[in-house]
Amino acid sequence: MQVKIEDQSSIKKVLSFEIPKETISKELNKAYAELKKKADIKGFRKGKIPRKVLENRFSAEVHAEVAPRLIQEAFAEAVENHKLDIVGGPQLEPPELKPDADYAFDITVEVKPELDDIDLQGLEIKKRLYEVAEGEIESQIYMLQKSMATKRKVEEERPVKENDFVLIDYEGFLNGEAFEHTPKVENYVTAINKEPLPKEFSEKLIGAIPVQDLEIEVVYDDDYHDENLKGKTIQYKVRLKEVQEEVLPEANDDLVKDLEQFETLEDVKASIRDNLEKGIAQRVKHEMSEQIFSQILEKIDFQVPQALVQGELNGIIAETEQAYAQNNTSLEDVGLSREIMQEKYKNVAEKQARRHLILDKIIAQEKMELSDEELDAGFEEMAQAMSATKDAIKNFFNMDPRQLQYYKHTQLEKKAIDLIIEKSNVIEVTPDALQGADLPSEEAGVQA
Amino acid sequence: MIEYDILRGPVVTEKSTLQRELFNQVTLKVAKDANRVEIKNAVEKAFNAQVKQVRTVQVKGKIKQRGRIIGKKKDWKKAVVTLMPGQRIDFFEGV
Repeated sequence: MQVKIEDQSSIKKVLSFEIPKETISKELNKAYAELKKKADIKGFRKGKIPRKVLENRFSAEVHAEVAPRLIQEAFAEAVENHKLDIVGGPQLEPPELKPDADYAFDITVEVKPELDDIDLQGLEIKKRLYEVAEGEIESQIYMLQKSMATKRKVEEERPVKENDFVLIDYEGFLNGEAFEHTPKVENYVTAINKEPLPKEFSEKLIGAIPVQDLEIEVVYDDDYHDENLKGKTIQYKVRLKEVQEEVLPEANDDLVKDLEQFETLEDVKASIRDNLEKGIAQRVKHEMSEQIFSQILEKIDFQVPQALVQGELNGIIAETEQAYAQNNTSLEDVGLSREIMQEKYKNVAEKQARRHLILDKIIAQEKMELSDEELDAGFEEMAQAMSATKDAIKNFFNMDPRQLQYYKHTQLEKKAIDLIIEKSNVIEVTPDALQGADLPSEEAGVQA
Repeated sequence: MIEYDILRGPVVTEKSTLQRELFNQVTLKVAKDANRVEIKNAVEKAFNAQVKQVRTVQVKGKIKQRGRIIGKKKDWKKAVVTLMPGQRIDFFEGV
């Protein structure tokens, strides 16, 4: 078998194959011999069908079976012999197989680009020292209080204010007649100045003192979401019965008793602080890796195989679809489609593909490997995050070696980033000092 | 086209394939009331080949029984046509 490899670019190669006719007739003989045993044609006993008859009846099928096999074997051999690092699927348009001629075909493949060694020394990274703001903890506690708030009737006689709740009866009339889509509702509790209460209600109700009867006219727009109401003017007869206000529970240990995992308020605060700190650590790391990549990308330039970009893109789209599916919507529901996503995230996907290639290169360049202990620690971490046992995680990966390979690779990539950070000049700065230049990529641009 | 009324189709079996390869004979299903001369003329006209000899056989249809229901396949006439040496009928090569 002969292969000619032609480089179209650093990432695209065309392999030209020529399979000699001897090989083809050998393969065909084998296929027909196999077929002879199995084929069943009327007028012939099984296994006694002449080759000629088989060829007449089954040549299309036999060729369709033999040709891809020949191509695949040849391709695999070529990949093996020439050490091609292929990404994505090969592209080919195989011609028809002819039994008595050499079989020539071309395959176009994309390969990983060969990167030059990356100089990791002397990268300058700014590390921002964020701190957990006390205010943030307070506001989270406040959210907690708010979520557990109760409503209480205001005993004193006072007018309705903003942020109050009201207890009302109401009935809607269309042109002075009771309207079937706005029946009488009693003892309805609602917040003032909040959706879905029409703003006319809020306006009229503020300042009113219970018990009081009001007439409120609401004009619904033509594009109102309710088919039955849009474009109509409804007169509501409303009886304001009570003013209610929200009572926040006090922030003390009793409040957190209901949260099960926690005993005291301090525990909750500590947990919130912990979460915030984790978030900050992640953010810092993310910022640093952003800087690293933009600086490395300044240094080296290479082409990215389209197959890799497409792979990243598919990942992004699948993730988004999944996220929407969890909320019981779909891409189409929010006015998106796969095509729009493709267009929108093309650059992101390409950037990600570049990153992976750079990290691959660094892993190879520094001859990094993942030790068993590190793998184990990774499992442990994952087990905690997914609240599963470590053994379960291990089992899962042992059952699927490809997943394991993939997981190992992601861990290696993380390790590579850590290594780069270690080798770089990390300058610690306070976040305030950098407020102006917020985007790390922009900073890198200025430096260069 | 009288020849197409007489010639009904090829007979492709182990035996007929062998006969074609060894004795240059082609085997056909023919109309039941056709005689050897008519068959010879029809084959020569339809396939543009010279015929040396025609032999015919009355084939009795098989009795097919399925449960209590007994059926019979149609009787038909088979013609084994020997071609002149060197003559060939492409139509039969393809079956």
